[in-house]
Amino acid sequence: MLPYLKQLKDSIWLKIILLGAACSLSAIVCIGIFSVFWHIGFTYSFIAAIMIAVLLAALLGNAVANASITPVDFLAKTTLLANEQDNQLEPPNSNSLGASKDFLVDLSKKIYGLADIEASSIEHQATAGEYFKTIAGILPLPLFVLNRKREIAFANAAAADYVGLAGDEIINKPFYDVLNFAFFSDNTLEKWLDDANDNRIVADSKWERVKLELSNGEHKMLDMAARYSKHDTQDIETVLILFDKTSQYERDDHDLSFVSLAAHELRNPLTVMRGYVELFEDELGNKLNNEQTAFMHNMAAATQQLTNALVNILDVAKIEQNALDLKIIEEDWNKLLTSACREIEPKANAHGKKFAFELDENIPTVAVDEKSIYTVITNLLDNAIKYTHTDEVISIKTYEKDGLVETTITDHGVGIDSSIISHIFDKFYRGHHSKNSVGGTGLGLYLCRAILSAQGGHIWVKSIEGKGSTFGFTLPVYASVADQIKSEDNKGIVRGAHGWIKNHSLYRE
Amino acid sequence: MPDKVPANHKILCVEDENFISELYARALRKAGYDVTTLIGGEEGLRAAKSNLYDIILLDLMIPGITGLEVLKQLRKDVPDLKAKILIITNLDEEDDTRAEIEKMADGYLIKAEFTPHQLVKIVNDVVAGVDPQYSYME
Repeated sequence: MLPYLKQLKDSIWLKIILLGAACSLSAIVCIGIFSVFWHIGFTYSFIAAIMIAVLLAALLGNAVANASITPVDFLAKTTLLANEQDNQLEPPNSNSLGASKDFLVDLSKKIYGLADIEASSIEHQATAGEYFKTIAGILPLPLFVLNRKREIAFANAAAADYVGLAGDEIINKPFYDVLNFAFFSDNTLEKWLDDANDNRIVADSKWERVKLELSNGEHKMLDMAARYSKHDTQDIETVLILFDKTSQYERDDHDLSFVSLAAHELRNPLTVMRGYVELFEDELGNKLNNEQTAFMHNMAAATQQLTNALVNILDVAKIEQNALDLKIIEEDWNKLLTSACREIEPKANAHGKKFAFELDENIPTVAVDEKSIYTVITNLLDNAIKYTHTDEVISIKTYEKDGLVETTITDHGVGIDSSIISHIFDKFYRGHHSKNSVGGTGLGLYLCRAILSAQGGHIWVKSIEGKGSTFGFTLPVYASVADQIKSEDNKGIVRGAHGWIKNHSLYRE
Repeated sequence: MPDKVPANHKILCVEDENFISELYARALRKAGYDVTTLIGGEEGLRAAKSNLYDIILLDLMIPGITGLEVLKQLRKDVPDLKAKILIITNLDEEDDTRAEIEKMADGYLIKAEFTPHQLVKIVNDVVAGVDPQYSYME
């Protein structure tokens, strides 16, 4: 027991002793009076004395009970008033307190103090909420908050301004209605959200070169950062911050259109050069000595390389404009692949490389666009030749797997560093080891991926640095898409290849 | 070397780039074709209307009326044209234009993607009435 309360206890204890003593004394006195002075029989005197004692005990007991309850009453009233739970209550009166009064008054002051702290902290929270809301509101970066239903729960002024919509056109709308994103890889925001929702409590991600189509037909280019957090108590499931890069990325695109314009200009002189090189080989072939013949071959190889580079650049430009058309028809894949490889074989031989074929003769026919698949094969074989510095065999395999025809091209070259392997299919990406030693536009693999995905295929890579790489790609079996192709008047499916992957399957064109 | 073909096949090449025209003519003649080269749209159209040719190689960017106009006029004015028309160009046409051209022409070749030898092979195939085996690389 607290020492401060000893006084209170003693006071109550004393009152109880006094009560006991008073009752006992009154009973004895009553018996004496009744039996001696009034000559009432002892039994009756005793009963009457007990009754009077009980009456007295009841009166005095009430006083003791009051004395005991007063401090509790005082503290209870103080607590209730301090917390503003009952404003009708009369304020407690410290005068009625007897023993331990000072301590109880102190205690009541402490209760008021605590209540004040709590009240001011609630006030503080409200102020802090306003404070951060103001910061979010004036943040000069577009900020969106998505709730668990993937509706936009909050968007700051910069966000509304960025998408050019009013608040009521944004808030509580599904995010993909407001934010019509397109991504360069298949890691879309929605796919990431699905994955985070299934497997994560908290997740962060970043995207670069995201395209945002606006309702007015314009588009923006941006980088984006997102945080996902499951079970947030305020239903702030995902926070998105956008970093506008429109001018920077458009400059890249302008560079690309400039390059593509320049490439067009180069086509005519290149056509002429290739023509005359061929003419020289035709007409002078048997008159040249070995060295001169080698010069001629080098010249032919160089013009061919230039042609391939031009084809790549122009194809990428077309992909960016969503204008690369494919004519997908039934083809004998081993035959097509072999003929493409045979055409590039002289170049491989000139570099001391040999092709080894391991083709499964039982694979079904595929649905493919011949011209663009030549580009894919050329790029993959070119890389295999470029990145193999020793004289090694480049193996080319075909087989059927999971209802698709898969082709692999394996070299024993320099391989790819694991830290960069996830980027090699990105546009303009060039592995840091190779930048200076091997030429290239950084477009080849990007192009391969876009071409393959446009015809229902898929490209992958496995590599060990220093040991070599395997590039594999799949193509659909003709029978699996024959109905589609036949419905196009036997002319094949004509499909556009594009580098953008829409965020949402319900995207409305 | 391209296969020899009967010399009675006549080819009209409408192309304003002299070097290219010369290279194609030379390769085609060597393969046994009778080749006439012209530069402008009007003279090309006039010659084509004579209906004497088996193959017409038609560039799109030519002086005077464009290759596309020549193609349209020919299809309109000479419904029984016996020549197969192969468009030779280094331009990338817009989708719509290209589709329109492909409907009217028998082939559409990007010059930079073919050497004269490869062109001869394609012409041989077209003359023989088989689908040309386009070869996109050396």
